Amino acid sequence: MDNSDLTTALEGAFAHPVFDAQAAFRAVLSALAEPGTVHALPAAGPPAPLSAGAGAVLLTLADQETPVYLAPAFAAAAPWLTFHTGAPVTADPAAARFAAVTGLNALPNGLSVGDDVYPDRSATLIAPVRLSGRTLRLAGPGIDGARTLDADLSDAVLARLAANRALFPRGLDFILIDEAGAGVVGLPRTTEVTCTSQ
Amino acid sequence: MTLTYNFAYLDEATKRMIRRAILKAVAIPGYQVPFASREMPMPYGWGTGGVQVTASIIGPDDTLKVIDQGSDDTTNAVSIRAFFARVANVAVTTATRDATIIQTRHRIPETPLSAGQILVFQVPIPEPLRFLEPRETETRVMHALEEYGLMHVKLYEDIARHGHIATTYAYPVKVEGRYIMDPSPTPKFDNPKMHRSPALQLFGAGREKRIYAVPPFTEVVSLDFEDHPFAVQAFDAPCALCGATGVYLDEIVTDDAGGRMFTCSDTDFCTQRRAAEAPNV
Amino acid sequence: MYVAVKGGAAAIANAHRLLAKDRRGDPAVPELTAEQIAGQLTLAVDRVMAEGSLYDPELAAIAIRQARGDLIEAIFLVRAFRTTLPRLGASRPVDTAAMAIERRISATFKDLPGGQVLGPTFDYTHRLIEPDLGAEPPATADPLGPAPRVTDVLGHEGLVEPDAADPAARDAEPGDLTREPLVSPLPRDVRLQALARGDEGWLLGLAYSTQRGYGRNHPFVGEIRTGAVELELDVPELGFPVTLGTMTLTECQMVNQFHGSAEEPPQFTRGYGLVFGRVERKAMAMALVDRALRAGELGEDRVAPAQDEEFVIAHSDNVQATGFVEHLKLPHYVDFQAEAALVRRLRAEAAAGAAPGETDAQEAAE
Repeated sequence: MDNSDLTTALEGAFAHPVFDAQAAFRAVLSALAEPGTVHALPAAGPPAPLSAGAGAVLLTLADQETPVYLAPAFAAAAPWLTFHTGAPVTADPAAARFAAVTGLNALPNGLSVGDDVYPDRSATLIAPVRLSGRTLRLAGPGIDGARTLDADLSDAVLARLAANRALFPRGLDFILIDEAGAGVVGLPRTTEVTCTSQ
Repeated sequence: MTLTYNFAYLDEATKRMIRRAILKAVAIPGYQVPFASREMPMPYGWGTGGVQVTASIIGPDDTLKVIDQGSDDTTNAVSIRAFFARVANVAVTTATRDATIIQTRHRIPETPLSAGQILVFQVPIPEPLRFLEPRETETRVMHALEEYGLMHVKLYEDIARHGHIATTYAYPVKVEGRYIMDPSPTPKFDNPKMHRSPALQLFGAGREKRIYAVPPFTEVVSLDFEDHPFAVQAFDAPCALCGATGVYLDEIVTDDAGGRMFTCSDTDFCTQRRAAEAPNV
Repeated sequence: MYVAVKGGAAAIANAHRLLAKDRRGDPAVPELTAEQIAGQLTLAVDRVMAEGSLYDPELAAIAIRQARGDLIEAIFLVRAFRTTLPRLGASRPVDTAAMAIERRISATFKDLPGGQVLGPTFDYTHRLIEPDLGAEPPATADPLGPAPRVTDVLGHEGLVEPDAADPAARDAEPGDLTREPLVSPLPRDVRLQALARGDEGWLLGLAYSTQRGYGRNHPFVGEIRTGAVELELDVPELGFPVTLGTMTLTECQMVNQFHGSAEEPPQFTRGYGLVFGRVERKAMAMALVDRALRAGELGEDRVAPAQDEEFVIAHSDNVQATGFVEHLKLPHYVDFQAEAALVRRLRAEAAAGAAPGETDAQEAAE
């Protein structure tokens, strides 16, 4: 690692680690408890192309006890992640508690969905999303009837989400980061997502 | 020897571990997530699970309310509220509608909760099947297989013997049609308040090392039978202090000759009603 | 009107002041110092360190004073403090064969390399109350150097099972029940951790029950040894371990009969006990219970309470146990009210001669 890499790895933590982590956690908690709602995240500065939002989520939730899978495109963030959180970076999706991926259309194979006895032992995905494009209808726990979310999720991604939901109580949970920086949206395994536009 | 403690007492690594457990609990409504519960500076059985959950979610912008038996003034509620006022320096309140986080033991407030509020339950025995099957290895599998026949048998035996389901508190519920869940030892009177509540409900069992959750607007149905539908307790008389009906009442012994009065268990609710009725007092 | 629901804060403050007064006792008598406790009530300090899972005699002594000598309360104080400490690293496994021995006895051999050392034991004292201690001039003894463990001596012959027969288990990172959720069945390392933190009285009773036929396993004290061991930490940057200090431990290895199986020739099996300080009774009880809990692994029938892991481990922690037993003094009037209403109703139905459940449709009748 040369000096500029080192500097990149050392910078970009939370300005106020205790309070920013608390604020980021509450944003993620609200996002997963009320799927489809958008919650702002405190600033973090991981090495590009890992987004500030994904960095904030990892600073908040990852540590020595949580192996993290980084998509190959995010390899530059590995030293940063390990320096700030102590989290081991793993190339094995099956070992990952968290996986930062480049999109919901680019999930690695073999991520853990937990088992019927311990369905909590499943990976949590962190992925960028563009909050425009198609109009989606969300339903399930955390939603009073139905909620509308605009997001650019393809039919293939919706089919993947539906398959994931069918695994319940097993399944992956998704923390989506708005590419425009508005914050975080949650799609837990319980959320039913359908498209109401083209 | 000088000792200093962290914001909200817990170290950041512990908070992260608990936060991860809470997120999985929210994603799997009614399922008990094991977590590495820490020793807290108050005894097990006195709310350590609730305190750990609250400590992991609370921030400087929160306003905390703590109740025990519905009351803000009972000793344990006072003690826990004082703990957070000290270690997290947060605003505290007794008013249900002003609170962002409400930690509770044995009651859900009478004032309807609203979106954005978080209700944190202290749970002694999180496993609803525990008194039917003491082994965790067995009850885990029963949940995995959705094998809940034993619970229905138990409730039905009550009916055969007493003519009623003889469970009056910690009355089991089914969450989102999947997991049977212990609602904590709240009277069954409060069970309907859990159903599709706009607030997020988090449950912490410290000694038993489990966290579970009910997200807002989630189905929470009390177990019953077609010929013996679930019904909540009701009281003959209104609250002797504020006149409220349709609320849960405490029985207060007023003398040793059988004298009784019934007053609101939710002291904040009762106080607000009396203040509204008698603005000049 | 109703004292229990009002004035909680003032009542708590007053209770704390009364507690402080009672803790101090007669102000004419000098206050007990933590140094006195750490130096003279050493076995109390050791028990608090062992069950508090924190090796710090000074802190344990302070906790004992604050707890008015209630050791479970002191353990609780230490545990609550321990929770807040950052984990800086994991030490290398301590080598009890390299112990500077102050006491070492074996019941299986009359003599053995390194010899038998009674050390500072109550064993052969006559239990006569002696108001005037300190009349005898104190003896001193240098600790004995490293001596082989009896189980190593037996191991040469293959008479006793080796340490962690399974190499995968031996090399694995040990679990930590204070950092990870407990999931049954537990690996033996985590079970041993739970026992080492477990209540001495609970383990003593369970161990005793195995001797009386509830899961009998024919134990011999292979060896008990007490003494100081060095605690070392690997520092990757240095390339060699750094000594952090020394700690006194008591280790008990029970040697138990085993008849062998289809795969294994007969050999002695072991139960293991290791505790902070000189809490010998606890180390022995732990070794007996550890062996009892290995019943399944060794193909024995699990029929006795001491062989039941979920039962033994779930109830071994005295901080948990005391909290939950004592929580019954917290107010439960909401639940009691719910029960009382039901009992009144059932009684009314019985008195009226109504068929049970006839009034079910109008539960509002309460």
